[in-house]
Amino acid sequence: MIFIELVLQNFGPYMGRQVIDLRPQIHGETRPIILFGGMNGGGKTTLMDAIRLALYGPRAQCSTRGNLNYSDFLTQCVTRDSDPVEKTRIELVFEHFENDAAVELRIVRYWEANPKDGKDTLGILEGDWPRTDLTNIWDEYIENLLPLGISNLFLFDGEQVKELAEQETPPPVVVDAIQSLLGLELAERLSIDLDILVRRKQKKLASAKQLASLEEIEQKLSTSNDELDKAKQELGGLQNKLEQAHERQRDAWDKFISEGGKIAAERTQLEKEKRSLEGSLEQMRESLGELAGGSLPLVLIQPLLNDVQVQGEREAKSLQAKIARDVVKERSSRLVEYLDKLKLKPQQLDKVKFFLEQEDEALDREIGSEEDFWLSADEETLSLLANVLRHELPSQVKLAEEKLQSLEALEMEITFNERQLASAPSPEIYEQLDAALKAAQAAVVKAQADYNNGQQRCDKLGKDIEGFKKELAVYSERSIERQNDEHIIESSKKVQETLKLFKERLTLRKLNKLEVEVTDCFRYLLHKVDLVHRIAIDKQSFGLSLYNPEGQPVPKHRLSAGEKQLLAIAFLWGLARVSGRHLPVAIDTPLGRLDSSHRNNLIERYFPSASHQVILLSTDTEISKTEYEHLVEQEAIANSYLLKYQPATRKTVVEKGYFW
Amino acid sequence: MEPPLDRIKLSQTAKEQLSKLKRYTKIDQWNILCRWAFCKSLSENSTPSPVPIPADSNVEMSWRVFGGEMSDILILALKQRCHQDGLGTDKETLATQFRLHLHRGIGYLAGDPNIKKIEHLIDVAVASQTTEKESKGKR
Repeated sequence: MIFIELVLQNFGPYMGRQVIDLRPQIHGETRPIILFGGMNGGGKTTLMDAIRLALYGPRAQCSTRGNLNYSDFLTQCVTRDSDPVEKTRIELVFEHFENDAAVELRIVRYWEANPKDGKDTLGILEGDWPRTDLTNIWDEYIENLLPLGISNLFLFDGEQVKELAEQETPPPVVVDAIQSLLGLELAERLSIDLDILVRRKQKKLASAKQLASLEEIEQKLSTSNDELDKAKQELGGLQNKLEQAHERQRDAWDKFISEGGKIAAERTQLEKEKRSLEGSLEQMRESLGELAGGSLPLVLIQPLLNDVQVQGEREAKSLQAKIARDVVKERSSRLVEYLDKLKLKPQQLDKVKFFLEQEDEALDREIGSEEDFWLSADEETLSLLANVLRHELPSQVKLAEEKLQSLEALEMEITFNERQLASAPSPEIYEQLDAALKAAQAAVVKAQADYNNGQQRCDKLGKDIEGFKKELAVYSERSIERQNDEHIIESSKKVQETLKLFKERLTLRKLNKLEVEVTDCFRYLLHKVDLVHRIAIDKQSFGLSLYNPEGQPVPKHRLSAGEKQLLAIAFLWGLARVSGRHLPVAIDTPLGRLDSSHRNNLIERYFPSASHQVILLSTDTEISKTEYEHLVEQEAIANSYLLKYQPATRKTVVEKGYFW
Repeated sequence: MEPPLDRIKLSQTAKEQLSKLKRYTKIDQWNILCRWAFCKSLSENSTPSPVPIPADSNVEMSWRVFGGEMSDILILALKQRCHQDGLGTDKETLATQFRLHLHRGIGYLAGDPNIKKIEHLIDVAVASQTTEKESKGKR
């Protein structure tokens, strides 16, 4: 880290804007020292304060702050009688390495008297570009580059440093700074962090509720798995049953379609035939009825009717004979009269009369007696009877016979038909088929329902198992987490112990190194070479103890003030070297009470090699003409400035050059 | 020709018997069945027993309705039968004999267990003809 430029504007005695180049280079040559010359009260310490304030803002430990709060301090820093429009402003440009690249950052702080919110305004620029990301985290950022704790050891006041050596044990601030500089605070911080971690984990463990045992969940899981297997098997069985039921239903349906249909067709056909046969039978019977209404019953009395016919004819013939006899008798009497007239011989006449009498007798015989007549039938009836007997009855009988025959045939046909009907599948079988079909359908419905139930059960079990698995996973996770936590707590103790040991060892090691460096530096700067042989540093308090070559302790109060200051500077120098940090060093009033020999040592040996950038703030008596020339001879000065105080305006102006 | 009686009135028994026959043969005319009954009785050789026959039903018909086209032939048959039976052919005898024959015939037909249908009635006539022919053939 190198400070490049400091800009002061209306800050303390520095009126207006003053730019100070802090680059430890001149004409391309690297020279570590930037020398500021100023009389007492000339603004040297203010310059130091400006650097601190730029870096740390409210946290900065400035010499003139005392117990003032930040707002008041800022107000106090505003130059008196300055233009109220112009703000007070500090800018510090420095360069450091970020990701192996040199970065030049400009810290800008500005404020006015009585700042409204009690704060300054901070801006970080990289070149001309604002780095808002850094602005927000500036305090953390600078803490990585130049921790506040150690800043006092790099930006130090010679007078203050002397106190460090005088005290039996350094103040806590310095102890902290030393620790952080030596990297010891890392172990400390780690230890504290570990404690925090352990407390957190313990809290978490305490708040974590007792989990169900792993075995219990596994038990449940395996039970559920078994149940699922069983349920799946059952489901398989149910599916088979369902398929069978479906098959049976199909069979029943096929059978119903084929056989039932056949039955229906056959029966319909047969019944139709039967109906038509019965219709013809009925017709036949009707015609028989008509026949019965005719002359047919006369067949029964045919013999009687034959007798009637014979008798009737006889009676008719007799009647005719009777009529003929009367006519003949009349003719006979007229013939006899005629013969009388003819006067035939009596003999001849008698003969004719005898003949006629004989004829009459024959005729009478033919007529018969009256008693033989009982019918007295008329001719019309007789001819009707004759017709009935000869033609009608035979034909009627024949007709009746024919009809009876066809009736018989019809009846036989009906019988055959009925037999067929009887042998044809009966409606009962149809009903059976129907019942079978319905039963099969019902079976399918039931099997389907069973299957669905099984399916649901399987689903539910599957869900349960998922839940158990999840629970198991959560449990495992938590248990691992808990184990982790426990492990962390357990191992934290060990780590704490190890850390303690590590810290002790590290401290010892670092302190040993520091002891050697400080001893070297001290002896290098001291002109009494045999005064101190070894410097021991207390590992607890960091108090310094000196030992002479004989190994006897040298009490500090036996050291002169100058020696004490040298001891302090040697301590700081050693620290800087041990810490390995490349940080600028700023020294205020570096040569307070030193004799010329020690001054020369410092100027010759310390300042040029204290750091790659050494800012010296000196009065004209400290680094006087001789010392200045000495440094110039060494080519150690990069730049020198004179802080010129003007009593008339009570303002300081920075000018190039030194007192001479 | 003059019928032996103008109106024929049946007995209650005969009416019931005829009703049965009507049911069997599906012939619903009283006169036709009466014609058959009369002929049936005449075909029997025996003389009907002279029993009193009441006319106590409401079935009543005239001779012409009874005989129809064959009214006169039936009168002749009755006369011939009465003559053959030696009963005389006066109107009263004829009337009596007619009633006896009619009711006896109704009884025969109704009592015949073979007559259950019209064809059985017809068969009575056809069968008598066949037996006559057969007996003729035998002679």
